[in-house]
Amino acid sequence: MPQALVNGIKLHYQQIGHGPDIVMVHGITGNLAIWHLEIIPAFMNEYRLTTYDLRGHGYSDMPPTGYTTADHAEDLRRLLDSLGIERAHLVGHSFGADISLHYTILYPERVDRLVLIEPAIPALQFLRDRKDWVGWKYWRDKLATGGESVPEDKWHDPEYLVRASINLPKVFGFRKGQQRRAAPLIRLMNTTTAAVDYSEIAGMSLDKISRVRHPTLVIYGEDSVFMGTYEYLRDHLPNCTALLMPESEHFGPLEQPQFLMKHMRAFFPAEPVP
Amino acid sequence: MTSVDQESILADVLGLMNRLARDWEYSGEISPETFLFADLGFESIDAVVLSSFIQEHYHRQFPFPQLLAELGQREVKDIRIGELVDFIHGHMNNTDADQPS
Repeated sequence: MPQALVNGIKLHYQQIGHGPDIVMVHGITGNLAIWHLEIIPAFMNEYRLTTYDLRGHGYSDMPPTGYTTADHAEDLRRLLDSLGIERAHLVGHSFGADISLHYTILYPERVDRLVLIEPAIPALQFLRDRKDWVGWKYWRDKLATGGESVPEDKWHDPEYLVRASINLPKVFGFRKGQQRRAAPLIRLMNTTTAAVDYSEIAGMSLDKISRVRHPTLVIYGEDSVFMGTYEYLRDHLPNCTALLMPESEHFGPLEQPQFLMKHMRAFFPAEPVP
Repeated sequence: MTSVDQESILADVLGLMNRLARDWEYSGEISPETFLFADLGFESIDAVVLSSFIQEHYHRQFPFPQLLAELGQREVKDIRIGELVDFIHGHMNNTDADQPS
C-alpha cells in the first residue's frame, strides 16, 4: 500500500494513470474510495490521478490534532512534494473542497485549475447559524430515516449530529443500506480535534477567497442545503463557473458521477496524452 | 507466461487480506464462495487497498479500476473471492494485453 511520511504521520495515497496531474481530496469522515468507483476508471487514460486519505481517515494515521483546513493543506503540500507533483489540477468534495481552496490560497503557483464540489466554507458559518437554516431539518430528517431521533435541545448542535450520523446506514456504494464501519469514525470524533477543527476558519477568510484568480468550477447539488454558500462563491470568486447538479443533495461524486465527469472534462484544458 | 495457479493465488489473497485495517476482522471460514462486501463487511476502500496489496505482491498492475466500475453496474454489487482469484489468474495468463506498466 503506497504511503508517504509527511509531518510525522503516514498518509495513504493511490496514484494511477498517465497525463497531466489531477489530485482529488475527499471530505470529513470519508476516504479516497469516493473517487475510485466511477471517476478514476473514466479519467485514468487521460490524466495521472492522485487520491489520498486525509489524516485521521481511511488507511492514514490518526494523530490527535491538526485537522483544520490549513493543517490538511500543509499535509497536502508535503504529500505532493514527496510525490514530485509541482503543479496540478485540484478536485475537492465537501470538506475536501475547503481544503483544496485553502491550499490554492496558500500555494497559488502550485494549482492549475480548481474544482470545488459542495464546500461549506467555515468563514460562511454565519449563513448557517440561524435556527431556520434548512440544513438542520434536512439533517434531522436523514437521521430519522435511519431510526435516530434527535432530542430537541440537540437540533442545532453540529457535533451531536455528526456523531449521530456515524450510525446511519450507508446511502451509496457497494454497501448501500448496510451499517458503516463506525469504530474508526468514533475514534476520530473521540480522540482527535477533527470535529472542532472542522469549523475553524484557520486563516481562510472571505477576503482571501475573493482574491483566488484560478479558473474554478463550483458545483453544488440542486437539493443542497448549502445554497447560500453556492451563491456566495458564485458571486465572489473572480474566475468562477458555477453549476447546480440535478437530483443531487451533497454527494455528487456518488450521486451524479456522469454529470460531474462531463463538466470536469469540459473544464480541464484538453492536452494530448504523452 | 506465469505458472501461478488458482490455488496459490487464493492463498496469497487470503494472506494479503489479513493485512487490511485493524477494524476489519472476520472469524468465520473463508472460501472461494465468500462475498467480499456482504459476507466479509468490506467497504470500498478495503477493495482499493487490497488491490494495491495484490499489485505489490505480484509486481504488476491489474485493471482493478475497471473491475470496481463493473461491480458498480451489477445488480448485486459484490464479488466472491473465487471470482477475484479468477480475475487475477486470467490477467496473469493473458499474453495479449495487460503488460506491467
